[in-house]
Amino acid sequence: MKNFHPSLWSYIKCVNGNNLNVNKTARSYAGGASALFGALFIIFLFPLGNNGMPISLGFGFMLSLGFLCLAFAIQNKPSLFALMPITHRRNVLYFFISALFLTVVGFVIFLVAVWLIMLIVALVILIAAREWIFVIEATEEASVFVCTQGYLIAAAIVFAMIGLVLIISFVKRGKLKYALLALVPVMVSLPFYIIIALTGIGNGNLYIAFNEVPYSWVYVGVFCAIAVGLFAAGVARLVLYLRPKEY
Amino acid sequence: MYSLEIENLTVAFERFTMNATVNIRKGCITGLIGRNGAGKSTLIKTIMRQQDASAGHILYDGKPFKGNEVEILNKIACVFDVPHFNVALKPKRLFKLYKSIYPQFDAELYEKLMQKFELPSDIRVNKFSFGMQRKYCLILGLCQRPEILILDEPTSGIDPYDRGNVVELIQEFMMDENHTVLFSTHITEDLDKIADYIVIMQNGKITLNEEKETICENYRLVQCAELTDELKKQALGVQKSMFGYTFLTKNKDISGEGLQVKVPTVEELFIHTLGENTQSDPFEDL
Repeated sequence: MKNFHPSLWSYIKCVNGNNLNVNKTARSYAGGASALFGALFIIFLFPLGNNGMPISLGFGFMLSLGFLCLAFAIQNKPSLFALMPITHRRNVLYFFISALFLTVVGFVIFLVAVWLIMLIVALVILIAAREWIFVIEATEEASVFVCTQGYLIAAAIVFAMIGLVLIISFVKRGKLKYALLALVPVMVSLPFYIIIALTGIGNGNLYIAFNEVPYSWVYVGVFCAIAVGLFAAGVARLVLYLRPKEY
Repeated sequence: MYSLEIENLTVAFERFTMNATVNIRKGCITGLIGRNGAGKSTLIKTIMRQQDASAGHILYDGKPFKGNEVEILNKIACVFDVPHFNVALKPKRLFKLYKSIYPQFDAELYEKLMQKFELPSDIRVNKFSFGMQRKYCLILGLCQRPEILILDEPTSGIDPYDRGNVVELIQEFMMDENHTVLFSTHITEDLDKIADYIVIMQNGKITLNEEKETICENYRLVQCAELTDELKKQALGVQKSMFGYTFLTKNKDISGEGLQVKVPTVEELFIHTLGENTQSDPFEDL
């Protein structure tokens, strides 16, 4: 019989179509939770003065969390991807590419959705309370994006709303442990409120708030360490799952 | 010639250990039977590399898995006790997915079988009834055009009419002498119809692996009102009932007054090889 290898795209479709037989909720969090943290990370690090750095770090953080969620979502059930006619080496390689693809797609979809909602909320606030809002502006110093308070308020509201909706839906379905997990977006919204309070209503902005906090690079280091840890844990779980069976 | 050579395959769980040695003959249908928790599904999952074994080895068509993964996975298909694909997908999407994964996937046969079993293509598989899901899994397995087909209770939950169709399909699959079927089931009636070999698993071990014809030739099922000492010496797996005793014997010439002798069915063989039950009333000791 002729031997066939399924294509990478078939493999990605298989993984993306949940043919890993993964825990669905955990898989959703691979995209969703990582997107939330990634977005938060980018927003937090924007004011540090370098546009590329916060985006790449945020992306890295998001991928790490996505990998971790996906890795732990795999259940020990028969699954299509493990039965594909493919060599072990290629299976590992394809899996990593597919996991990356899944996380990135989840991130992009979620981020676009969140930012669209934030935009709508910001516009509503803009119309409702015009005197509060400063439009997004670029400073002369290295074109740093400065987040306005309207933007922060919108972000905080969106995260809180997402969390609340998730909590309500999970509680209604009697899935309390997932409801606890859904607290994450609510918790994410808290720092926004804190920053708003720190910067003062009316004239503050995130850029100033961060510049006034000493050793902000320490936070970057902590974030990076956590990201590397998450990534390592995810990779370890995947390698353990995909290791060749010696019999 | 064997399709599968399984030697000393050991899977250890906290409260259960499977240790199986069995050879599955090429070109034959082998029926795998055993009580719930005997290790049938574990054995099948281990053969399909979905379960890690701590010891032992398997040869597929005489070849080890390592180094021959692609060849082996191309020629083997399995219908597990639960669907191993995303049941939230519609059959039309799964069809495309399977076609891209298994380029030898037989689209013509797929359409034919979907029509035969009257399965809709535009309803999600998780909306199917249990029996419909089993049928769909079998269709996907058969359409992969494998040489070795492993079935874990494929006929459970299927109505008698379609069960006949499933059995017929397996027989059609076996028209090619290079094809092999390993068939785990609790519906031993199906094995009476199509199995060539019978394998019985008990507590994680293979306790019987014989040709069905040999079993029919060598064993007799005896029913009697009284169990004399002479009969006891020949009796295997004595079962007591309100009407007397039934047991298996290897003495095919057994006869006597008041003895009803017949060739055992697979189910009778299975029940009597499990052990003795000399209590006619299950609540006797309570």
